[in-house]
Amino acid sequence: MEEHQLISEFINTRSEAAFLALYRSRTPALYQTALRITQDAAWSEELIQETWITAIRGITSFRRESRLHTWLTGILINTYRNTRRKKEREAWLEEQPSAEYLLPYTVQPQESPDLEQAIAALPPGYRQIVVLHDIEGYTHKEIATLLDIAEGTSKSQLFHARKTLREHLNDKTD
Amino acid sequence: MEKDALSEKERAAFDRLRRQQQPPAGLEHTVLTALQEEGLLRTPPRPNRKWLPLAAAIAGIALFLGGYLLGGTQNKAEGQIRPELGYMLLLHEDARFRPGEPMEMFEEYKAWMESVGSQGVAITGQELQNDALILDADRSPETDAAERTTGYFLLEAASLEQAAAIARSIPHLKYGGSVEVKAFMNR
Repeated sequence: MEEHQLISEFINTRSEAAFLALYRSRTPALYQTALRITQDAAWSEELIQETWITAIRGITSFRRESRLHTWLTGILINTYRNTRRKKEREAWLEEQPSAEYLLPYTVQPQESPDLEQAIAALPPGYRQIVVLHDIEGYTHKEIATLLDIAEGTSKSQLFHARKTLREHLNDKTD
Repeated sequence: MEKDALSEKERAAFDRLRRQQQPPAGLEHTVLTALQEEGLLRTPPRPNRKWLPLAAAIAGIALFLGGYLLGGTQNKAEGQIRPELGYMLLLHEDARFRPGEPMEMFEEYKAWMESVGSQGVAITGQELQNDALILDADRSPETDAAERTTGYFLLEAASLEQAAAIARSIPHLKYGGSVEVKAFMNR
């Protein structure tokens, strides 16, 4: 069944079966994105849950001219940014350094372990851009919409992110 | 052309990362439960009460000694199970099976099926006769098989874990029987 038919089927029936058809078609890719951005399995699961709740609440406002996956990724990214701010605030209040880089790295199996590690070590802002552009294949224009930033910012962040990645990888091989 | 375009080797490394890792099996059930609690999904239909007597037919492995069926209407009930959510619980017995008092078993299995139904799980089932004809062997109907399949339930669940959690509460296990949990094949 086509993606838009699946959505119509869900809006018309609100049934579990229709939801599961949508969920199963999109969640593996969303989960992968969440893992790469958060570097944490439990956080990724929370994000997937929140993403679907937000999406189903607003499914009737989904504009059919865009891809469902892009729309869901936008929700996922916004949810991630909100929860990251919250986690950082909590860490600051507890006078602890952000645990971002100390979280267990869970993407497996690692086809390119050095690159995985280099991506994991990137600052969160750079990491988002690399994951969305170089792994997920989004254009700068799409990323600008997803992250609510200028297209130029996306390009510039990708430039710096790749530079950091290359430095990290060169250090490993030296 | 981007000034820092990826080299072929770098491109290949990123492509390898694109392979998907499946989300944890329990996540689907967690998300479904959260959506139901928020009232964002229509509650699945409760089991049709007129099928509840079938529980007795399945449960009453000792009660219905002849292994006969109730009403011949079980096919219609099976049709109510949505294949995409369908699971089969196969009830097996062997020499370790120790049936209890027939009426007690009847009430117990009936209460179990009602309890599963009260959780919004669509469920139906069927008792099977002990005798079985094996078609791929030159044998007469099995009357002394070491293990018999004596019934099954069909139900709807969000995941294998949920179906298994339901299966763990079947009184059949208490009497020494075993339960096999299988998901419907959907192509």
